[in-house]
Amino acid sequence: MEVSLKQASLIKFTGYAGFILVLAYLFRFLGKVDISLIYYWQQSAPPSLMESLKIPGGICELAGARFVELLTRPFTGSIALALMVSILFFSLLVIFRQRKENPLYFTVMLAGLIPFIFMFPHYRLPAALIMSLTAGFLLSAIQSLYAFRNLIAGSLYNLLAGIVIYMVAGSAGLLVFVQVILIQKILTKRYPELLTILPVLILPLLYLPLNTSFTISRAYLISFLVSPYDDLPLIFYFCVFVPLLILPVFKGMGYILTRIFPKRSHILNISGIILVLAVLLFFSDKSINTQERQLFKIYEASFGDDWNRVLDLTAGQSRISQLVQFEVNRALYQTGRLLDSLFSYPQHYGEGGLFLEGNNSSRIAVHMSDFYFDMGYANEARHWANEAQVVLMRHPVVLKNLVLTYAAMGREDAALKYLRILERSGLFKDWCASIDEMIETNTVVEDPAINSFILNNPETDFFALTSDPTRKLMTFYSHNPDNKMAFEYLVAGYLLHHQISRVADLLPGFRHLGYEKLPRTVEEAMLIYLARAKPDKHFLADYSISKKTMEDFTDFSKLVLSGKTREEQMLNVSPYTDTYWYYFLFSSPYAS
Amino acid sequence: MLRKIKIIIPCALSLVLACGHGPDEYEQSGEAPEIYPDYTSVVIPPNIAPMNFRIKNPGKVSIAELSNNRNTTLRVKSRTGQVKIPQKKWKRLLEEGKGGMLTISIYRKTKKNRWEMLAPVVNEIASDRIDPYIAFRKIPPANIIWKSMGIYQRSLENFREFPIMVNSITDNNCMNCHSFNAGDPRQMLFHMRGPYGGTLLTTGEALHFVDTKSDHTRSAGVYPSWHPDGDLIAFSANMINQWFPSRMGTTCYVMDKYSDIVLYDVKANSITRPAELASEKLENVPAWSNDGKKLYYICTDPISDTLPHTSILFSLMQIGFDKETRKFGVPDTLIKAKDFGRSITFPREAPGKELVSFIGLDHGYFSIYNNEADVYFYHTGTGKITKPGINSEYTESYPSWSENGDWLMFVSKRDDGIMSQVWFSHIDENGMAGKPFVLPQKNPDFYEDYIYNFNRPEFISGKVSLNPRRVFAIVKQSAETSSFNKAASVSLSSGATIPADKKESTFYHHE
Repeated sequence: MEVSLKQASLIKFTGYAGFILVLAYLFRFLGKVDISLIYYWQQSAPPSLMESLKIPGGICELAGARFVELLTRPFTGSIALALMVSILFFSLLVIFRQRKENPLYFTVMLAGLIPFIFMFPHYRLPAALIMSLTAGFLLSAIQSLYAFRNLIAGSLYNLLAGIVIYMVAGSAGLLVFVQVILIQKILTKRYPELLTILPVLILPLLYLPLNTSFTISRAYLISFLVSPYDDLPLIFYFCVFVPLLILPVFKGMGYILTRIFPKRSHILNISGIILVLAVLLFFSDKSINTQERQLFKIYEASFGDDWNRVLDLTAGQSRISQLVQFEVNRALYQTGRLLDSLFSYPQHYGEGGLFLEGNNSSRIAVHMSDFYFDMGYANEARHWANEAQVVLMRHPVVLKNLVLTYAAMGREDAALKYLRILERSGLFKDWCASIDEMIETNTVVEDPAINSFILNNPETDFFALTSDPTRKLMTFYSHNPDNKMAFEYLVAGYLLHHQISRVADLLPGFRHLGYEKLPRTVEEAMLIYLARAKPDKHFLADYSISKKTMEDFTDFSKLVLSGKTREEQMLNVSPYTDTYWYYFLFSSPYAS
Repeated sequence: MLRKIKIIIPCALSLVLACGHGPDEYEQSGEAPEIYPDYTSVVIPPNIAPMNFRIKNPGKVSIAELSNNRNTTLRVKSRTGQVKIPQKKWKRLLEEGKGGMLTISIYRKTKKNRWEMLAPVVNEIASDRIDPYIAFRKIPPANIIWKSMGIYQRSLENFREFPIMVNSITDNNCMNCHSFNAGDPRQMLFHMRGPYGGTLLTTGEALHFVDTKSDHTRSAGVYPSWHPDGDLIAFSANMINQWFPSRMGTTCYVMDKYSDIVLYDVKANSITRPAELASEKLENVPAWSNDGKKLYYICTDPISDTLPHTSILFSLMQIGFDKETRKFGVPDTLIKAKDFGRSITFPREAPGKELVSFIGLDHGYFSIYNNEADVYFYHTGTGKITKPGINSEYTESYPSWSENGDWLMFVSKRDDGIMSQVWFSHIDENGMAGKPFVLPQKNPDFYEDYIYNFNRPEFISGKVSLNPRRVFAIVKQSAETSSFNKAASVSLSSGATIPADKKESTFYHHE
């Protein structure tokens, strides 16, 4: 179809204007996505360059680790993502340059960006894969600028380019490359040259003798499988196959539409761009998994020790996951509210909301390591950091905990080993330098965490039972009666397990730790204890139970008795859902 | 201000030889070079890979000059302090210098652009060659969770490493206990756990994938030892549990509730449970003598829950074996743990020497987590026990011997206290050990940030022909169940072939 020069300029102008609008919208969208959350799921100190060169796509893994660090600062992160989108856009322009006269050229290119933009709210989609895709598009576009007519020369050229792309961008990049060759040959109608794809297709097979750890499927899928989260979102596959999806638009739809509007090609172009923007506007919010975003915000806050934010983010939620309950309870402790407000949250998991032992996952082990780290229980903090490291090799939280626990043990060489790995992360350079200096000047004990480890190190050893964390904590506490966190968690553990008599046994501990009055949940538990047992009059360790708690207990008891069925009783006592009594009778996993 | 020093005559001789090749003018510094890994004053095999190192006190430019007694010299210039030695020249240097000294002279350029020479390092090049390959497992330092691990073989003559099996292609299952018949790469076995469970066995003629679990034994085969004839394998059968201490400094304790030793017939794919080695006591970590006429193992009394774990001490035992009748003799205590004052584990007889190496530790047998675990020698001729000067403040474990008995290989955590690496020591005809050195790596800084353990290193006399793809093709078929030979398993005391008592273990086996 003939397009006038004026129309062509207009199409070009509107096309680039559309792209700028897409970028402008992207910034707004990324703000909503909260891209920094990607870091809190994927955080990892980058691997060394030598390590990265060993496997196909390894360089993109390195680039991906650097990239997620950029995302922690929303503005620089948005700039980086905008740059990535620009690379993809211009790569697509180059790949389909034979169709630049088509009035739908820019429209289709902009439409091709939609899946990429919708990929960013998938916080778990490894940044390494996103980098592989980008590198695949960029390198394929560059490669497509030159072509050989001779079949042998063309095959050789494609093979060499394929080797570079496979090693840099892995199989995701190679898949893009294959499509680009295919498209080039179809658009230029050089069908016999399609044979030059063959050497590229067998490239992963040629890699097999170099790495006997690879099976054929692994060689072909390496950068897909390199991810610890193999369940990739559908949008990722859309991104990978964008070139092939675009091709029929030019071959079919474009032809039809340009026949319908032969003289109005610029209108077609503008309408198309408006449509693309409308799709972006309409679907972008829907592409955000708000539940996941909320979850990662909680993890972000807990990794950053922003405990009030953890509580704000979870306030009023009636159904939360075990890990979130665990983080909420940590937040309650850290804000001094554990034993007063424990039952403001559902506590459906009983002690499982306090201790995560039994969950054999490295992802969970990071949280457990952090928990014991806060408690000053060095060997458990180290143990769970080691367990976490099995999968999360270079997770900064894991590395930090290992550095500090080994430094506390006096294993400076070990601490330095982990410090050297963490140093590769741009975000921890200052932290590493300060610890390095402390080790160098032999002043590690000045670090509060290390000092806490040393102070809390049990004088005599005992086995840390993974099957019975409450018993483990009891033994730890008996060695460290001044450890407030161990004490409160122990009390909370007994409360959650309905072991009220054990809580009663611990009452002198409140006196020892200087509590002016008993926390509300303990008062509530003691009223149940009083109602059931006939304890010694001094069992309260000279504390008294507040008048308000006693009045509430009387009221609660009346309301329970006034209900005939369990459902009716639960309804009657609904004002008391945040009490231990309610938990004890109705919501606890041990409640009959 | 540099201090001129007097140099002792042998060193001076080597210096004179070196001066012609180093910088034209230099001053001698009294400072000793700090090199990492520590390759100073060591005895090295003539066929070892280049022992690349980093100078920790380098200059703007450093030159390492390596020379042997025959005036063969090679020089390596470095601006980073890393000294990477060219392989061909290194080979020539060692081959020509066998039985003599290897002198490393380090020159460094100071900030004032002057050259100075550090005190030379003198190593010894042994005439005794070391086996060309070793096999080991690489695992991250965790106890409950595992993900990536693999069994690898590494050439000792260069830096090439090849996977024998990696678990990335078998759903990240656990694999362990690789073992060879006297270092023969054609006779190998290792266990696969989890979804591809079984024992892969190669006899030179065929590959077998077998399941050694039996109702009559406490578990499938765990710690193996090949009879030199290649037709029998002694396995321990264990109920292993692990416990995590709370005090800083210790990682884990591994204790067996029960353990026996069973015999596996390779050709018949059958298990027997000899009464002498499957008693109420805990028999463990079998190791055949090199002539196959006796079996070394460790043994302790039945473990009671009330006893503190620190009181569990294993003694070193031996028992005669008649290859023709396949009958064992009477167990004989070689070292009584109470007399020795320590527990004993991982015995291994040295070829051509009257020595049995073993690990001595304060309690238990799973020495890798015990900082105090050290290498010892039991002199079979005299009954004497000696402790070679190759130990460190951290764990030494799993000693094994080269084919000629001149090199001892073991793992040690001395580098950082947490990760185990492979170390070698030359052992002379009198049982005297040379200062050990760590497995050389192409990158001298390799160990500084490497976070996998080298586990169970075994010498091999050549390259194993297995690779992960080949192994995978076999293990994806289900393992062939071993039979239990009741007739050969009749208990001496009761005459019964009762199934062994089985209690739940927290994991099968995880070193």
